[in-house]
Amino acid sequence: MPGRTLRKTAPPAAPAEREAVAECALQLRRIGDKWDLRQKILNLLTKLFCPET
Amino acid sequence: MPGSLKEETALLLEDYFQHRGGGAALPPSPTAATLRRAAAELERRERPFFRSCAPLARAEPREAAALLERVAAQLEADGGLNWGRLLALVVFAGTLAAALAERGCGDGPRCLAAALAAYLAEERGEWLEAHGGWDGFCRFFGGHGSQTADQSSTISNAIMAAAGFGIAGLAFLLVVR
Repeated sequence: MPGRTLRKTAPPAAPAEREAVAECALQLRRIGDKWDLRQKILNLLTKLFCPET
Repeated sequence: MPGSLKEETALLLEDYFQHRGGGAALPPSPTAATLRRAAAELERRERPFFRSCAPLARAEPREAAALLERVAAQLEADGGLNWGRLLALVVFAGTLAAALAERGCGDGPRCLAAALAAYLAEERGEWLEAHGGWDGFCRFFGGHGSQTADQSSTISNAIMAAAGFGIAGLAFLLVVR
């Protein structure tokens, strides 16, 4: 798989960087999930109040 | 087709990175406009976090691309991918691209756009296709002709009107009793 090839060629991460990557991914998950839920609610309200759009 | 999805994704990401870096060109498509707007809104709301990510960008674009791939792989570890996570990842990549460009690495944004486009189209292509591709992104983030600001204000007006009727009804009941 092309993606796997990319990851194999990537240099191994130092422990500090691994921690930073994990923390970063965690925060992005939280932000992304919050934003996803917010947009779903907004889309639902739009359907309820402005069904023509 | 994976090839066209990859190309479309790379073009959209490059446009967003250029715009994020201060490019004044008009968006090349409605999808690009939706991505710019949704990403700008997310970045504005979560600015402290994204600012704290900027130092993660190394001088070498390949290192930044490798970092981006590692973050992307972990992003979907718990609960898979959704449009919100994808947008957060794009904004994160934009932060790294802007940091690289500020350090004088002019090729950084293009390199990151290519890496993220390859990841999204090749590793997450099935998910993207199943959710309507970038048209699905536009539908989800309200890019079908109406701006989110208009959408929000219409909804706010409707909620305020409903609340107003409720209060008026309550006042009427109190007066009548």
